[in-house]
Amino acid sequence: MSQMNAWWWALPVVLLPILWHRKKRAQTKTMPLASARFLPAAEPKQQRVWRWHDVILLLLRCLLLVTLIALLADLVLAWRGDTVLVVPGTPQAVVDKETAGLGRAQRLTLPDRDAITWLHAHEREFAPHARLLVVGDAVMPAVLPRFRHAVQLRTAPTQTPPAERHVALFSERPDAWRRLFAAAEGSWHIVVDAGPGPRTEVVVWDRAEAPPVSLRAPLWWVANADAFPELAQAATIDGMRWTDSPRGRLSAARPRRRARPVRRVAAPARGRAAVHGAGAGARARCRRAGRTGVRRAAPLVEPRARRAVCFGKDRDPCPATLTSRGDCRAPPRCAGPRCGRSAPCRGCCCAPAPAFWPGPRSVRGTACTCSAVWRTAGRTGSTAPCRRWKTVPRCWRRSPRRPSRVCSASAC
Amino acid sequence: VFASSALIAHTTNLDLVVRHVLAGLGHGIHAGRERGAGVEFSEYRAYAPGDEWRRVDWKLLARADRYYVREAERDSHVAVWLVLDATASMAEPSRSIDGLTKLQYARVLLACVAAIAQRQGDAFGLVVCRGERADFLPAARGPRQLQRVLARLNGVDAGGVLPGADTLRASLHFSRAPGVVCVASDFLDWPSPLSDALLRLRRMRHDVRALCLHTQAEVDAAFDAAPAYRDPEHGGAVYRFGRDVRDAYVRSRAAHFDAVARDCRRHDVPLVQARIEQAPGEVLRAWLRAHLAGARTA
Repeated sequence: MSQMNAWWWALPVVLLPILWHRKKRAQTKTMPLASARFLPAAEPKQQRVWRWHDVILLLLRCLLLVTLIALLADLVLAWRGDTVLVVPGTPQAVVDKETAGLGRAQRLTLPDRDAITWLHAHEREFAPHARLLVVGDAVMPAVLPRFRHAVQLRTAPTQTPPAERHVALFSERPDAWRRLFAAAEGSWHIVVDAGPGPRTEVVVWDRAEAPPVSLRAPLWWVANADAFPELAQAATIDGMRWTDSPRGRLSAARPRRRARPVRRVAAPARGRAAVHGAGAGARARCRRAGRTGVRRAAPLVEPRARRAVCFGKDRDPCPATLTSRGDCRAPPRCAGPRCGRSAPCRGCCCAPAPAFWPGPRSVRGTACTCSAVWRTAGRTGSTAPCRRWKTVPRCWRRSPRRPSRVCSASAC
Repeated sequence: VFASSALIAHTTNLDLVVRHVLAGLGHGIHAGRERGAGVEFSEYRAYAPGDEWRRVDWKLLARADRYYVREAERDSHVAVWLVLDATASMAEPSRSIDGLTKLQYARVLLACVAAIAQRQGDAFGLVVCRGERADFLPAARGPRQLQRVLARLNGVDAGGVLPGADTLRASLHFSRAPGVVCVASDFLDWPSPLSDALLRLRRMRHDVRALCLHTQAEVDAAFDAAPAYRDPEHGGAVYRFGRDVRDAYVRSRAAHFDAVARDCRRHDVPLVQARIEQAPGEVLRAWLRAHLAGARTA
């Protein structure tokens, strides 16, 4: 009763139309008396009598009041207690594992992954002290939702098949493009078609001549902007030009002004010898690591420098950047997002491309661009960032100060 | 032995009641000047039930094979006028005898008077005051007239109020000839057009005899206090009876009927006040002899 809505106390109001329905009328049961004129006149007695006509009107009045009270009192009574809301598609093992603490909780399978919306719509069904646990890969809103109940969310991301994208490639160097697309494998699965089709979303035009007029696609990536005069006056956003044309939306890279020596960007102003000295140091470390075949080890994988930076031929090019086989004379640079040092490290060649960089979580330890990948032996989420950017990777296990840390790098 | 009031309540045959009531009564209330049937031949008329067999002309029966009665000129010119108050207040029932009302009682007594008049050979007529009208039955003699009067009395039911003064004045055109006017009423409305008409008749030297009917409950002021009451003639107001108002009721009623009796005494109108629970024969005798004993109360 204590949890009952206060509006239910207004239910006795329904008695009012019932009482009003008793018609107030004068006393009509009178008997004739011939000598009544000798009696003093009396006030007629007022009495209320039940009238059973217009019963429908009475019921209608009561029903209106009950409906109003129910509307105000939020008619839905809370009947659910502790509940585990399972997002569809969640493995049973995960559900059993996560709901170990809620033994008697009712399991409720949600209609879809949007658990937050469902909870907002059905939250009044839960008792005020009910504990709610959402298990599964639920859709997360941009803003932290607010609930009246204690809602605990334990997500279990599921592996979703990558979306298939069709790209029509017109290029003189298809293999390079294919490697680029292969590097983008992840959430996307890029299918390179020889010609445009109905499912083609992007046309990559890497030829000098102009494309035929009949060739149309929603998106165009133009490698050589000379064939598209529309791009001359196109808007430039974030290093990319784009414009809408009858063929589709054309996009192209911003015209490069003049190729600046990479060494000026990457290396400190110590002169060429110093830079190559650093490269010599790198080569020395490569020799120590047994990679004698690599003379210029690290390719440039920084997104702003899409050029080959390694000297000579690389037998093990980086699949992400396709930059290992160039013959530029720029010093090799580390591909780490925060490294940027000229001195290469061993893991740079195999590091993933920046576009697929996992993000800050990986920076903390799971995917350091150094050769060593740091992980912890303890709980997840408490990993320590790798601080070994500048030096040769070293395992934390060997560090006397952090004996609990475990390095998973193969070099350790 | 007088017939009881219960007989009136349980019998609808007015003729039978009249016979029982008149069983102990003699003939006539005043001396007729008729010397006897056939003193001065007037006419023959067809036999009607109620005619005496001795008045049948047997020779004419032998000639015509039909019953004829010899009518003779009568010396009596006294007409008896029966005035019945049939307003709604006359429907007042007796609280002790079921089915007995003032109207029934008055009807029986007027029928008895009509029968007596018919026996005496007097002409008699009927005036029924009901529903603001005065139904007038002309005076005539004979058993057929008696049957008409009885039938008219049988068909009367109480309702409405007394007629107005103009209506009564138009109906009382018989006032030229001397007669006996027998009025049966409750006289709750006094003065009223009826009372004015009666007093005027009395001033015109008619023999006006008034019978005022009460019920035992009215006399004793013993009514049930539970229900509310209303005046049947002057509706609208609601009255309540109780111990607190009983004395006031008795005083008001006594004052009213004292005024009625005073007016009647002043105009030399014999007034008989009777309760309908009394035996009708006794009341009838008192009514017919009221002129001898003067106005008295029953």
